[in-house]
Amino acid sequence: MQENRAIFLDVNAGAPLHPEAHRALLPLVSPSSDDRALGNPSSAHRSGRRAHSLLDQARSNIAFALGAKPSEIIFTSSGSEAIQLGSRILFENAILSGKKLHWITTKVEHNATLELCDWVTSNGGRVDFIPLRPDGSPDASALEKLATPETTLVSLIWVNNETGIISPVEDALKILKTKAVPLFLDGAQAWGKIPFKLSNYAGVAGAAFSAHKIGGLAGTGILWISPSGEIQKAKKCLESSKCPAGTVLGRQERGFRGGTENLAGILAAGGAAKALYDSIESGEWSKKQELLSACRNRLQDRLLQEIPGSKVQGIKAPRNANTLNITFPGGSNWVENLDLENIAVSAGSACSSGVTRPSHVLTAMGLTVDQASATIRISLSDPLSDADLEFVVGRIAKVYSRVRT
Amino acid sequence: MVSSSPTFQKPGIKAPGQKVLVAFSGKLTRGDSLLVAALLKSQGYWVTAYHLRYGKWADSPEPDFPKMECLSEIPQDAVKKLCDALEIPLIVDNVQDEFSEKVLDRMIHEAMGSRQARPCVWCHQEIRLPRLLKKADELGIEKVATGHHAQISSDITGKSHRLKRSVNRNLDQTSELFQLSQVQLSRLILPLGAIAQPMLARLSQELNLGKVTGNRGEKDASAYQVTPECMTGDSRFFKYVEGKTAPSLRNPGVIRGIDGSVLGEHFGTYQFRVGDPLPGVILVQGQAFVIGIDHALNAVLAGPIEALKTSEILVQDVRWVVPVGGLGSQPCLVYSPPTGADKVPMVPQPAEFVTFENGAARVFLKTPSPDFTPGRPILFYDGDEVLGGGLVDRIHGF
Repeated sequence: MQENRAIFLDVNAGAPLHPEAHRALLPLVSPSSDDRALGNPSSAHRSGRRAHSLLDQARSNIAFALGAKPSEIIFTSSGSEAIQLGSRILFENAILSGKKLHWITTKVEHNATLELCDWVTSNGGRVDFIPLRPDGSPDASALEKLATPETTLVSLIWVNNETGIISPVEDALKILKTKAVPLFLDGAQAWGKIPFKLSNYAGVAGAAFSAHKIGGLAGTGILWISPSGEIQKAKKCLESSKCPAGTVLGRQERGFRGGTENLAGILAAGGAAKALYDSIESGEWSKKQELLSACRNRLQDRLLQEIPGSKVQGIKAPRNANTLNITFPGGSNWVENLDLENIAVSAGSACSSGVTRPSHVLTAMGLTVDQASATIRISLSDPLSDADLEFVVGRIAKVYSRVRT
Repeated sequence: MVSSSPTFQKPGIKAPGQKVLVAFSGKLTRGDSLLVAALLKSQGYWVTAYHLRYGKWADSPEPDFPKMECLSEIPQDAVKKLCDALEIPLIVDNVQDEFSEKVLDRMIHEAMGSRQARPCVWCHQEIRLPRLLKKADELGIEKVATGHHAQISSDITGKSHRLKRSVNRNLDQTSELFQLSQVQLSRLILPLGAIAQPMLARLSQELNLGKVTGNRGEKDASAYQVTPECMTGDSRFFKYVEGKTAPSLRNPGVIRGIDGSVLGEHFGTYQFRVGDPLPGVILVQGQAFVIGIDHALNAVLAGPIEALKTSEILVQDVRWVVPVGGLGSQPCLVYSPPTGADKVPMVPQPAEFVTFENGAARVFLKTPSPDFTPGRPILFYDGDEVLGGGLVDRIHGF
């Protein structure tokens, strides 16, 4: 067994740059290429047109991979910005129309969403949380009571970044349709990890995605706006009342998001999206998901077997194929420990002033500080070979034998 | 001069690729821990930083809690930034409760016995070094490193390890390490002890630490001469003791001279430590010192410095670096590390010692000295080598 092999099991934090993303960057970075894209996509000269054409191509690739139309895609600086931009347009329009804000979300959202709680309450609004079912997934049926026709927005994390739990989006949509309440999805961890076509989600007002989760560059977010949805309407209302909609004003991105586009990030995202689209079309993607799921399940079984008393978070809920969130019966500093063993994973807690703070997702799922400290998230980019899987299991068992108290 | 320690290699020389856990305060007054981390990394070690925080004792002490310089901390974000700049992982633990139990409670106990407590020795002995080694065990890391100015040398078998003073005598910190076992010494790397002082500054430059710290930690020559102010004789510390002990243990009484004459009054013997000067009390022979406490009479005994002079010392909790065998007395040098209150650093004094099996030793000084007062650590040296050490138990009447 090789001592110095390194295994990266943290793809949910950021996927390695996809070769197609790399290829898509070449016109921008290779100095000798005839294909070289110079200048600003907004410039009218030949170089600018070339840049603009590449940008449009990338937009199309991304739209295809999402099952949407290019005109529905707005580029932002991050998934977080996409979430906040989409939500803020609805909130600000409601405020402008003299309505009281009422926002419904869950406690297991990404921080980009939860950061808005204070914003909503400080603008006189009310925030309600959808409770979790015992399996850890949001209980959509609670929307029957929580949501009213006065509700401004419901926000859901489509696939949870920490646990891989898939939210019951269809159930939520069914209920919300009867009450005419818009739904916004944080799709950062859904893209490339579960099958969907946005064209089938006409009832959704908008969704946010992030390029570095599918093998693009970090710093590129995507806001999808449903052409007939509430965000589109709200934007029009805001514009007609000469009220700025969006965080950066400017004419780029249909006025949703000003500022020169992040050409490098968008081209890379386009490359990665094209690769994703091709593999979905060829059936490769589904095959890979099956293998990933089998690999995750075997890793899960082996760990439960090697370290009795471990608990898999969300094991009974619908989960995506690549994520495993597991709580061991003890120990702390798991990430550092496994880093020293050349295995990269994510933690279930953060440390501040030497005091461990469990992740808000695990807290919402009822874990104690100690349990959160003993929790790691494993997220696979590719199925592991048998030897690698056993290597990982062996190293985790070795660490556990050291840290158990 | 001591020859170069086996643990010191110049930067650029690739060492083992071995894992090491570095005790990392992140403080830039001297920047020792930063230098250790950077130096070991440059030698090819796989460095992980370990940082301890004292929680409320550093951040927002209770009212009346005296300022302890050693507890001052830089914000955790700043520690993280330094580690990020060095590209090393950081692990942080909080020792707030442990510090209270193993150091503060003992300080109160020692104050009630009027002994010259040395909390930093206990903190190293009971918290900092055991924590470092335990965390290394948890991480599966064999070697640990600190910025202590001391040297460890191993014999040719690699099984026997000796502790030596730093090549920079003025920086020597062997007094914080004498209690380590052979196994612990075998795991400890002290990269700074063998590097002469002018070279330390040059190394910082070579390793580009100015860039790492954003030049916040401009070192000046005086940084290497600071002895942290210890607060055990501080009036704020008395208030702290008062908040933690029953009033019946703190009765006022009188200060008596050797002849029984009453020289003054006191508000509790816990405010006095044997060996300290008695402010404002001058005897015919000169400045008066606390020479003892008569607990039966609740009296502080005062006398001239000669009354403190002793040539026999009973030492308890003795730990030997390398087991000391044989009956009869053996020659050595003895030394007690200075406190903030000491104006002049002590020099090692020639003595002989007899060791007992129960962890005690008796020391016979060649020249009577007033410096080895109860509660102080005492170290036995053979030249530059530390033979062992313990705590002074009694100086009179045993």
